[in-house]
Amino acid sequence: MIKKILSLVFTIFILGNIYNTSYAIHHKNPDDIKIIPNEDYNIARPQDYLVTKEDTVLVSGKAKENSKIYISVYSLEDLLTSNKSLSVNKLLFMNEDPIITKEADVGELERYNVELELPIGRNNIIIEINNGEDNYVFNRNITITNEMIAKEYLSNKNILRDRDIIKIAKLRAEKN
Amino acid sequence: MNKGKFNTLILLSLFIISLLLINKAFLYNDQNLFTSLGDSKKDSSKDLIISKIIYPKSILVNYSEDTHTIINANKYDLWNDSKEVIKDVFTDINMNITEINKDELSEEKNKRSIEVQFPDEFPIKLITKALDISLQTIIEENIEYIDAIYIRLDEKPYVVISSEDKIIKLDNVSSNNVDNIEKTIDYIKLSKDFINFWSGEISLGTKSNVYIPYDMPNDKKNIIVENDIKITGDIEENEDIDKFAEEFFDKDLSYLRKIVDNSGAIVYMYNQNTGLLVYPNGMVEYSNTLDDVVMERNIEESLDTLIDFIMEKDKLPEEAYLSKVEEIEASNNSKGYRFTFDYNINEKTVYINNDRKEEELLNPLIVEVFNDEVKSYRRFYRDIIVSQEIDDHTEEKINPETIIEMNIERIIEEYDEDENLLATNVQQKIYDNILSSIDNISLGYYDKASKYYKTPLIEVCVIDIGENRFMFNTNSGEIVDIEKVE
Repeated sequence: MIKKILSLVFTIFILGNIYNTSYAIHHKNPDDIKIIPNEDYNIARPQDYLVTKEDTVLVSGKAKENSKIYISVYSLEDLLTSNKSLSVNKLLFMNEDPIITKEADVGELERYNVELELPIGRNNIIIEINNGEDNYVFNRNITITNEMIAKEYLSNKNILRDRDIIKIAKLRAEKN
Repeated sequence: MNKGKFNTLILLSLFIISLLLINKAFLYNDQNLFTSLGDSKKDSSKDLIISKIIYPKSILVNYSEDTHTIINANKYDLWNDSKEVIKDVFTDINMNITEINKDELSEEKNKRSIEVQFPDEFPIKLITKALDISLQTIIEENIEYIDAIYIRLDEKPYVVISSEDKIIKLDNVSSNNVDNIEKTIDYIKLSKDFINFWSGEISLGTKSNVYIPYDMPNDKKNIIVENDIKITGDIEENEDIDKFAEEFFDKDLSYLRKIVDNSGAIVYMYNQNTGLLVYPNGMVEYSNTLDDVVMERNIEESLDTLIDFIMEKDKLPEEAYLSKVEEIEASNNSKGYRFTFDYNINEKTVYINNDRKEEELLNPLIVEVFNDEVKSYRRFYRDIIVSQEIDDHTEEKINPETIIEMNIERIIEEYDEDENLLATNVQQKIYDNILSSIDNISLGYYDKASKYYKTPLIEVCVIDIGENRFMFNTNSGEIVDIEKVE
């Protein structure tokens, strides 16, 4: 039950903050970008807007043999705390450094599975699949929470706001 | 209050305190007191062996849909904690039993829980014997065998017992020992060597009970083993073997007839019906003719006979466990059991190559028991001579998915032979078929056993695909061996 309420709260918050992002990391020509998955190129997991207390996620899906997978993770807290006046809508990820990058090659099985360990807070994962010609780009928003924070929010009947995210960031800094 | 009353009050309270303390002291002690006075007929070392050999192969720990891990049952004492809960549940008279299906059980594994997985389907009586509890008829009426016990960790815990044919859920039960498991699994999650296992069904399309790691554990060890019976030198004059035979029969060599066979095997005959055969590779085989015809097999009696035999004549390797129990019939129509053992080194199962049979592995111990008689006893034990950690963190172990990908051509070759599913001729379809017939991925050691002394063990990833068991070197990804599984 707690989990359900929590995920609802988080989802409502995140949905209210939908933003547009642009990606320009590995493709040559912006016209090449394909963001609609098809049978051959897709992402099966994780779900978008996932809220979880488990900090390890597996990014998995399908792609044709010899494709290259590039994964970049951006922390939304870093962006929000470093420049509070900047509205989320205007954020351009290219100007920020990803906190995690990973690469993988797709083999004969035509599947990819990449394990990521994410920090607590809101993370934006950009998955690029490049098969030499086309560039498929998928985007996943994953929020890693922990039980302590979750309970705190519930007990205060708080809705997650930016200042709460700063709190999460501080907690994370202390943890490190 | 006058002085007298006050003194009385102090005295009274002192008296009460002393009573409480005495009581406490006795409470702490009574366990020891009772066991020392306890029933001396019960052989505790025998119970200890039984509880050591009837042992889970591994424990699957489920935190959520995406977070699982698989650990050796010995690690973190998780099996001992689980036993307490199982005992509580199995003896709870209020229990309610319902049957569930395989999909429902799969779904259960996405919740915070653990699943104790036995190496094979065991008769439920064997498990209750190992747990030292008497079996409630209500459970016995519902299920005969157990291959796994699932424990849901919740305010209202419940237990699911599964066998190949039937899965039952025991709810409306209570146990005060669930907290210990909760604490242990939280601790495991925080530990440095925590490895996340992912549902293979989701990541690769395997069968539903397969969980695989992507970031591999980095615990390389250099392990060298050799036979515990030294068979080097002139086999005819080998005192080690003579000594083993003498101890086995508890008789001086002059009472035994020793024959050296053409193949180099040595036979020690105790009498016409009982003999001991030592093969050139160090394998020992005892055989005996049954005195009587056993009409009805009894699992508890047979297990007792087995343990007595081992304790009297031989020993068990450290970390040996019962891996299979089969019902057998002798040539005189006697009914009995075949008990097969495996053993772990460094918490991983050791797979021993069989030099004499291409498509079979060697088990350290196989015993055939007919209630009170041992008909045959075959053992091949190895001692660890070197076990040292390797401080090499440069080369990472290869994960199962990459290993499958590296060896896909070879896997198809083997698969083709026994499944003949190439008719579709669509490559991706063949891959999907192969992946969907994977029903086990685990890590172990492989013992080539071609040299009888000083054999380094190879760390392997064991993958069962259809009827084949593939063993791959986790450092190089190369195929080490392919065997048939049932």
